[in-house]
Amino acid sequence: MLILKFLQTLIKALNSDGTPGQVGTGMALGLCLGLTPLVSLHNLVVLAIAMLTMVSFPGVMLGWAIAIPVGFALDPLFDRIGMALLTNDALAPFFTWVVNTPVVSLSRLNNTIVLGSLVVWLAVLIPAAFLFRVLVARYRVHVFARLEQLKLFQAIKASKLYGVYEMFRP
Amino acid sequence: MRIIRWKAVLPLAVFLVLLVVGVRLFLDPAVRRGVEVGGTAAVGAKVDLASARVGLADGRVTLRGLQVTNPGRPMTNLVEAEELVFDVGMLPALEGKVVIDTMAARGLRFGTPRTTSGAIPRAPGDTADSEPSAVRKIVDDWVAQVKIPPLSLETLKGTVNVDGIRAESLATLRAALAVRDHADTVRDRFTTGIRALDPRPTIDSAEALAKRLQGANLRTLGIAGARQAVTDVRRTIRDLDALNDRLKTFERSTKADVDTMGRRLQAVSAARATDYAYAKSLLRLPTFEVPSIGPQLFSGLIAEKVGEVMYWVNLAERYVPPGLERQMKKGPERARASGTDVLFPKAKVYPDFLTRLAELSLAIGGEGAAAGEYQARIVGVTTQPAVYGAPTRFLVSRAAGKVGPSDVRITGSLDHRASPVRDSLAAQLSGIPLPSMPLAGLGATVGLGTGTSELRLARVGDELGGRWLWRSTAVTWTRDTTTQPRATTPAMRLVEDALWRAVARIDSVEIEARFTGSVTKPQLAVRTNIADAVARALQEQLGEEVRRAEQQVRAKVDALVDAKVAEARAKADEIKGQAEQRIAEERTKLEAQKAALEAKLRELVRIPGIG
Repeated sequence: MLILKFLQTLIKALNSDGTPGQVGTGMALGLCLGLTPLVSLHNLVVLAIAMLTMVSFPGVMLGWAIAIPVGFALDPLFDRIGMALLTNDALAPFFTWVVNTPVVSLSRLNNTIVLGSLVVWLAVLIPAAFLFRVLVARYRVHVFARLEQLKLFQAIKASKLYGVYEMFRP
Repeated sequence: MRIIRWKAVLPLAVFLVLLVVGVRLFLDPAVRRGVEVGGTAAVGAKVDLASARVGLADGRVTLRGLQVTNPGRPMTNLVEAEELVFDVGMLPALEGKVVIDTMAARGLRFGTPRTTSGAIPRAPGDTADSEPSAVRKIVDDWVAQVKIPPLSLETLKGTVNVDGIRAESLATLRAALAVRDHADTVRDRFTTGIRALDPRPTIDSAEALAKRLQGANLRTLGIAGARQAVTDVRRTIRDLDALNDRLKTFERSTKADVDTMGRRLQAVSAARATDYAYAKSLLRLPTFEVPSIGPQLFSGLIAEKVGEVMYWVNLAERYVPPGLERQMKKGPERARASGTDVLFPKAKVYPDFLTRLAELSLAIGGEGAAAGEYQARIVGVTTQPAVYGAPTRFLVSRAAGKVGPSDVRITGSLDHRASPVRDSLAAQLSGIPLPSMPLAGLGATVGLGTGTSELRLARVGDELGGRWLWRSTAVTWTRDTTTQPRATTPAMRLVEDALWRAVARIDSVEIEARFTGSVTKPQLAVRTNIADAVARALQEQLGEEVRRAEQQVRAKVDALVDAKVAEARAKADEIKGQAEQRIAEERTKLEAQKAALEAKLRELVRIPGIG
């Protein structure tokens, strides 16, 4: 069931009416949900941005799904990056402010994994948005026409969840 | 192109409402779970909580049915509380910090039995050392170091067997071998040095010149010859002076080597005294010295009791680190890696955890040692004392009660604002039932009855100092005739009976334990009037036998080391003698030649036109 949902999200994201730019930006935003620990304050902000702006919401879901295994795999790297930043004396005043400021401190940016993964996501956000945009555009030109003929593809697209997806479609 | 997706505002609002409702629904169980998990990690044993209620509007948190397991006794609760009410500051909560303005406790009980074990189950193969168990290990090591073997009369069962004294275990032999090796080194260095110095050519040349000028005068040398002779004599004297300087330097370095050898020889004598003590300890001969008897009787028991206090002191240091330095702790447990939380303490802000004031009314039921009502006041409990800026202080005192202690007063402070940390504890309990203490090795137990217990403990950094005193004027004595092995010889039975008579006469007992030093190098001294009586009885009964055994031990050690020590001493003396003699010979020759040349020079320079 989960695999079906994932496939449906994938198909709808890649073939929705949204422009490749909207899908690519959505996917880049969705990376944050997968790369960084999910229960974090910044993910609430990312989710709000994804819902309130005209980026492709299925694209966000797709980006999230892609990034989950990557996030787990890269935890040791995030830990190192976070530790390097948190132990940098030049940044100490900033982090002292972060952990002692109401609401901001709830972001848990003083955790090595949270900080390291967030920094990595911010670094790849814009390049990823452009990359996804290009890939989606190429996919629509070269692959979509062939896939559309498949019965499985049509069945997934026709399922009930399509209604929910419609609400967030660009 | 539109940027805002207006039709998603409503679902988003619904999502946020659901989130708030979810938080409200699951906050209480989450707090309960948090207390259990956090408490378990902090204490090192299970912490159970029946329920938690969080009032978001008024910041009131109520915990009911709290049970904290004693880490040393998993079937007993260290403390059990019916209800704990906290007034929590909401503004600090927005910073993720817990600041409790006041705390009230009801129905606190200590040492209650548990229905299930509170030990933390460990997964197979899990060898990771948690912080509490790491602290436990430190304390266990401390206890193991201050414990000393109990008084033993076993060695007096028969003849003293000195065969267990092994030559390779003796420090004297190692010291003697070191002297021998050093003597070889000194000899090699001397031989090489004197060869490099090479005084012969210079002395021989001076001797030849002196001979050549012997009886020479202006007539035989002529003016030019006399001038040349003066020049030659002056040059040769300069060479002899230079040689003399080098010889002095060499003599100094040789003397330093010889002195070192002398010091090593002295160390051999000191090592022999150590070996006597070591060999004596192998036989575990009883001592008559009062300061040694006290620890032998009570060190095991006292070490365990002080160890329990030290466990909490060390645990406090782990969780309440000093200073405003960046601190690190393990991140939260989650599906993803935990990572590390880096804390950035800052003065004059809220610490991560703070209880400004806790006032506790404790009622300990039953007829036990601690039964009665107590009141406790704790000020400034925090995990970041440098941020809070004041030490944690506490006071526990007796409130009322017909049973239990007549007076209780426990005060203390934990000052972890900066390194070194300074902790202090003073406890005075009067009219309490004191424990029964077995006298290690004597087969007797002293029941201290009702008396006074005083504990003072001060810690500055790693240095620990303290005193624990038990005093009772109505003690009872029990002779253990079942578990202790009885005397096997008539002589031993006589000794045991004498000891028993000596201690059983005592009706007033004072036991004072003093502990000093660091956690890694502790020292424990025990003073007690029981030790005085035991020492006197032992002296009367065993004085002659122990002296005889000590003589046998000394003779055995001497027999094992004498030959090697003599060999080392002879070698050192021989090398010292050779070196001193050779240097003296060279100096004598040098000075003789120099004197002869100087006399000739004086004679030559008197010739007009030559000087």
